[in-house]
Amino acid sequence: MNNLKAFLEDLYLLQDLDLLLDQVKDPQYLETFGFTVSDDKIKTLEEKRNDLAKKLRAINPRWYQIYERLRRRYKRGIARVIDDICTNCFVQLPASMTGQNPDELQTCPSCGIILIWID
Amino acid sequence: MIEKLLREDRIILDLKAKDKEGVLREMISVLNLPKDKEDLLFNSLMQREKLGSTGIGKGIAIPHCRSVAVDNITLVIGISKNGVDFESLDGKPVHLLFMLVATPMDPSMQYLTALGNIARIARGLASEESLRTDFSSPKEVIEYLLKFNNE
Ligand SMILES: [Zn+2]
Repeated sequence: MNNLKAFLEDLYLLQDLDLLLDQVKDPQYLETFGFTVSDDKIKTLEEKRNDLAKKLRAINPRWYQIYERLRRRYKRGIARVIDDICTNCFVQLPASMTGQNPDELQTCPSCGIILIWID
Repeated sequence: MIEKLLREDRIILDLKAKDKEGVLREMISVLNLPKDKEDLLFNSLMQREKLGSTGIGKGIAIPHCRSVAVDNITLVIGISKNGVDFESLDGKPVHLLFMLVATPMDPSMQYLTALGNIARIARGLASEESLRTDFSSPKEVIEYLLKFNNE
């Protein structure tokens, strides 16, 4: 069954939510922008994040674990490929990796991040 | 670094939309993204707005987010002569918008520096007697904004 496409689309959203949560908890950001976020709103955002994570874990626990592990290492789990270059480590991909495999998650041979090709 | 982000083709001199969602859509449209990327970017910007409006008062808003939809850190400027309801902190309509979008990979330093530059320009603009909205060209807008960056 091919559910990789749906999985990746939700994974972008999850990463956006994770990065937004990182940001609103970053004192430097709050100071730069002169902005405070109420605990209630952060909690609502975290619930939304956790619901989406649960959905992804249900689709494919192994893929989801890869994302979580990468998040811990890099604060990001997925990276776009632009001009055959991984945008996490900026290393050129091998010629055998030409685009999105519709069935299996692909990771960067140098840094391990989940790769996505979107035009 | 703000000089590099200000591009004439990313300045809208007279926004048509009247509300937050419409104006964000209108500003996104100048990036000429495919529909699915436009939607991703719009959702990320709205998600950020839900945490609290980026309308900082005095007629200025700085909607911003990280999104996979863009290839590089990107700034779009929009001017609304009539004003947009942006649920600003002071309840006043917004006339000048700075939409900043970073990629998920842009280092925080770069993103925060850009935001900090924009916030500095916004503070300069806010200290003026009234916010200027009549510009005859994007070039004029850039020159006007940069004046506040150097102060
Ligand atoms: Zn890599």
